[in-house]
Amino acid sequence: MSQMSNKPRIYVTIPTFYPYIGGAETQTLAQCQLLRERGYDVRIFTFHLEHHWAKQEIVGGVPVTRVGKILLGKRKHWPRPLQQFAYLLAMLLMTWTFWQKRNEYDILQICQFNLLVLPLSFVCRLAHKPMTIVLISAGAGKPTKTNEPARLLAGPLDPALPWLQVDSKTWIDGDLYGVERAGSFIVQYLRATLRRMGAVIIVLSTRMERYLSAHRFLLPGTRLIPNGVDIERFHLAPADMPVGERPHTVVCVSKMRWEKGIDTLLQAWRLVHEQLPEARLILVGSGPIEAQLRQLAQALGISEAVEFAGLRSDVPEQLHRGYIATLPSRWEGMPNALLEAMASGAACVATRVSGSEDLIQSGINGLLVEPDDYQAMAEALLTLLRDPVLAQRYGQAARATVEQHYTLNQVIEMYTDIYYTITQRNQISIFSDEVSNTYKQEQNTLKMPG
Amino acid sequence: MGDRLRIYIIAWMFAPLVGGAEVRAEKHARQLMALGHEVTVVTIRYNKQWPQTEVLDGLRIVRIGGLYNSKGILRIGRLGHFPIDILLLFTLWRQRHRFDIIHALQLSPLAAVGTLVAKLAHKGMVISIPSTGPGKTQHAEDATLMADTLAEKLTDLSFLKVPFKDIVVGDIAYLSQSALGGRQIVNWLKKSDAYYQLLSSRSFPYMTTHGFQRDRLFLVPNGVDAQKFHPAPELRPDPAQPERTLLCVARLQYPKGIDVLLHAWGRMMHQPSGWRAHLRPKLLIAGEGPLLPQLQRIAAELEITDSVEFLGLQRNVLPLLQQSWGFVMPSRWEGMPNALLEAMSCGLPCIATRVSGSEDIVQDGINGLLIEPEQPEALAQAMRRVIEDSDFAARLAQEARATILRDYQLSRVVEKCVELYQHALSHEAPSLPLALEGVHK
Repeated sequence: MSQMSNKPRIYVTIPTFYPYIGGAETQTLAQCQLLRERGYDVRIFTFHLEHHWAKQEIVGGVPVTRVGKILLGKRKHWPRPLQQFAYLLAMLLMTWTFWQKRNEYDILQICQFNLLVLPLSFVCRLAHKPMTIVLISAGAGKPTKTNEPARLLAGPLDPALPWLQVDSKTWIDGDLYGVERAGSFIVQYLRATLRRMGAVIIVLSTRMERYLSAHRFLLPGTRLIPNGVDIERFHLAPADMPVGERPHTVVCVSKMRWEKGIDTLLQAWRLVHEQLPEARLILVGSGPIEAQLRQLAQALGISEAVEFAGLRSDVPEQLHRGYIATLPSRWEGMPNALLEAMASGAACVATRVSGSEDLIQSGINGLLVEPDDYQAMAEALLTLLRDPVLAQRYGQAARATVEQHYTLNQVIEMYTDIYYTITQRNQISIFSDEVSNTYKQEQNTLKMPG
Repeated sequence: MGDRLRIYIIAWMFAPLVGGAEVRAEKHARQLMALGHEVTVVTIRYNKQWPQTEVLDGLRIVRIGGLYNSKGILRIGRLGHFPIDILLLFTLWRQRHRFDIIHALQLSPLAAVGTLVAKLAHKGMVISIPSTGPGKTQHAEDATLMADTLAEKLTDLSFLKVPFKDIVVGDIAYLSQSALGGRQIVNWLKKSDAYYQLLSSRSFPYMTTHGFQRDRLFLVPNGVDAQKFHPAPELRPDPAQPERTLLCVARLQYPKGIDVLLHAWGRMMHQPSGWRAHLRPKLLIAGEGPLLPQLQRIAAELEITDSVEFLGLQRNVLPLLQQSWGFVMPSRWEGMPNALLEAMSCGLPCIATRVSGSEDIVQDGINGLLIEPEQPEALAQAMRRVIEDSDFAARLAQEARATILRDYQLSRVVEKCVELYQHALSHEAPSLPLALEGVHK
């Protein structure tokens, strides 16, 4: 009881983490940092995927522990079945770690709804710990059977050009893929267990909610909490900033991977370039298909209108270089890049994918087009490039949307709310009414205003 | 002016032509008349034989001509619309004291002419946007029917290729491609005072992307004649009997996704058969089209020919609907699916895909089942659920009918349209909530 009188201690497990960078990693780190600033004891546990990484490390003020060095560190050289077996063992090792440390945390949070949830749910049941699960991907929303190779959009070019083929395709499966591959018995068992435990499943977008519902995992404890953005770091451009080239500049901050759809954007830019030769496109970021994208820009005859700015650390300033930002992704979970652009007051053209479709109300705070539809994307960009007043209006509305619903602070409030509710609920089920009542009062006085 | 409005409807195609668009235009006009408004239909005089003005069962029709070829057929092409436009402009201007509202049913050069007259004569102008296109760019190489489980079974899948002539273009793209000066017309319309009737919520992004103003866009979906399409309890299959007939009504074309349906059916029928020991599932596909041989081949390869029947073109689907257990619409894309409205109106449990229109009508698990397009496994699960769980199916059916009666009855929809007319007449900035009405998240 003594350790409970303070803020709940939260252990977070996430399969991949820094130095690998992705949306889930960035968001998890930002949330953990803010929780620690607010005095919560938060620790991150992840898999030791590269041999040379440290076992213990402080990343941005958050302690990170990596598990399974022997099993995973050098597995790339092993045959495929052995790799899978090693991963399975690493999961058990992770489970064992949490069982051993069961007196050191009050809440276990699992980022990614994968097979690891199953053994960890045993731990939580036996140790009477509440559990939260964050769903990070609803998959690409495409039929999984079509294994055709990924290709950059050819547009007017010959689709057979060899350099349009992409081999770095990362096929993103939905979170539940691993669980469902384990067989229907496991699925049903897990569903029943999570329901009985009252596990809280957190989804980041309405599409993820639908994904859960389609897989019959929409349990009563499901909550929609989007990603949040640091609105101090991503702020509006200063009012005295000279207008200059900004009305006809479009910024795109994205990794250069196939699923980010930058080829769609380049195809669209060819059409934009025909109409407005003075318009400029700035691509911020790098990635495996960067060389191919440069070649594509060249082949489309737009290379002088496109700036490849590379990987940058001054993303907020880059976003201020134009009135307009765009995220042409083929699929997403809950795109931080779009949140950041909206927070910076850019008028955004995004695709109708998970997350983006929740953030953008087309015609109010930005414009939405279908993924892969470069003609529509060109049309949308032209609409904004020709009408800077409209672009600025959308940009202001976007900032307002972020301030109202998507700041990191608001998101953390929603999480801490859940943490308090579930720790209280667990206390009530373990201790007598009297104790839990005093505990409740204690908690109420502790609860921060707002 | 009172409540009685005088409305000129501009329809690109109208009787004596017969087709979906013509029928909808006439239904709309007649329903408006039933509400006590005065309606005139302005359409094209394709054939010199057709009368210039005519009264058809009380409905006044004005036909606009142009330049005719030697056989007496109107010349229409990229240039041909200009003489028609000028004649329409002249006609509308001369008759400007006879109407309060112009409603163009398509985005065409005629709609632009109507907008010009409405502006000059201070009348209300409404333009309907029936189609937004498939929503993704289709390339010739993309059009292949789904192989799904056949990919493992067969080595030669070349029979799945589709001659992709059936490209659906959105209205705006169509206008700028098909008529000379179309792009200028679109740009002019963006700045005009016209209001727009959208049939599905997915059209909002389409229009705003093209630079139309959000506060001029209104959602008024298609309606269905709920008196004609009604449940018939005496024809409805008995849950105690083993027959479980699912019906699909669609043209056999690539966008309708019948191949996906067949794969889903195959997956369902090849599941361990315990669940259907006392049931006899059957799939009826009503409609004709170019893909028939390929679809039949898929059905044969999947070994489901004994439970799947291609009915061919059916002129009257009402009895079929009333006798079926459920309805399924596996489309890859849609505009505003009338077949689904009709099935729901007949009180059938429906399975639809999350495409334009359907996603507005169906709330998953409440008045139907909604799945992502091109997902045979999910579709198989949904169909099995409807076939297996007759209580659940009955609940969906009841809610489906209730949804139609509440939101999609022809009379209700036309009333909403009249609200839009009155709005267009009041010339004041509309309030946003009306634009969002009916758009549910």
